[in-house]
Amino acid sequence: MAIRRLELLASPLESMFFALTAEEPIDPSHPAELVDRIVALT
Amino acid sequence: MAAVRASGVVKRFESTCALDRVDLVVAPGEVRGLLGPNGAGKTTLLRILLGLVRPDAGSVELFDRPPAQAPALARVAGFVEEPSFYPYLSGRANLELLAELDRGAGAPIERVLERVGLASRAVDRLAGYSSGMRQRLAIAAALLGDPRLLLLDEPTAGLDPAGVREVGGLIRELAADGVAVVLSSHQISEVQDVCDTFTIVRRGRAVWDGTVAALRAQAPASAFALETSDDAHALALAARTPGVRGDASGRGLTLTAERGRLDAYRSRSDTPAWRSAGSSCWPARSSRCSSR
Repeated sequence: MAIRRLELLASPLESMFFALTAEEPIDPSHPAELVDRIVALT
Repeated sequence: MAAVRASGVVKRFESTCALDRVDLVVAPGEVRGLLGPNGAGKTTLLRILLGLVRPDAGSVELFDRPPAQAPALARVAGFVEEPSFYPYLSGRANLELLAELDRGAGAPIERVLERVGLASRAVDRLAGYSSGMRQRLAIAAALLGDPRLLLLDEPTAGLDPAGVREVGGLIRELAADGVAVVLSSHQISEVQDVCDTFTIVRRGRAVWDGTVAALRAQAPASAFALETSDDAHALALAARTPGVRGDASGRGLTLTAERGRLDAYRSRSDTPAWRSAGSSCWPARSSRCSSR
């Protein structure tokens, strides 16, 4: 298996900031939902 | 004595509630990041602290005095929104003008220029200054009054990484001398190494208040976008790697990896195909991955 791209989307503090300030706040203990929302923005 | 003690601050603009019962306490020598998206209320709070706007409710004290009292504001300086200077004057001439307008009180201009690292460029016209130099000059202007509290609105906005480091280093030096600093930003990555504490605001409300270390302790793992030659294998590998989680959605694969765990994942995926792809697989930002 080859990795073609591995790119940082959000550091822990960036994720936390996003979770706290999103239009609809996200529980940071649910990483899948959090990452999905971050991906949607990027 | 706190440099800033604000309690239950409310500010409305017609039907919009810009600040809704915000508390803020800042000690001497503390660097407090006031963070939030654009429009969250950061600048409004700074304006209130600077005595430019009155709150509709709540109380504000600077060094145990209301901002409206001259002795309180005499120890406070800063800027809101983009600081402006005369581009056809030198950095020193701009500061001389400001000092004259401020009746010449405070720190000597040469000392201030030295402090912000602009002494060697003091006679150059401002038009030739970089963004970082302009921000440092703005801080120099704030330092003319020899303040014990600095209120800085987006001091790292528009700066390149070197400029962010320059301004951050200067702020840490001032804090080491006991100056309290409140700085606003909408980019946590730009100020995370400068601040001791954060107040995070969302739609006028403080949604988090505490030390950077405490926020970090609550934060989830780093998130990464992943593209591979075999997504099923990549997800299975993530499931077998402690501290790494893989998810697939319509937008592609993502990994969340705890600090130090990404290297284990990478090494397990280090197939001949991966090695042959070489460094071209790694976009610029990924160089930060393994260090977080």
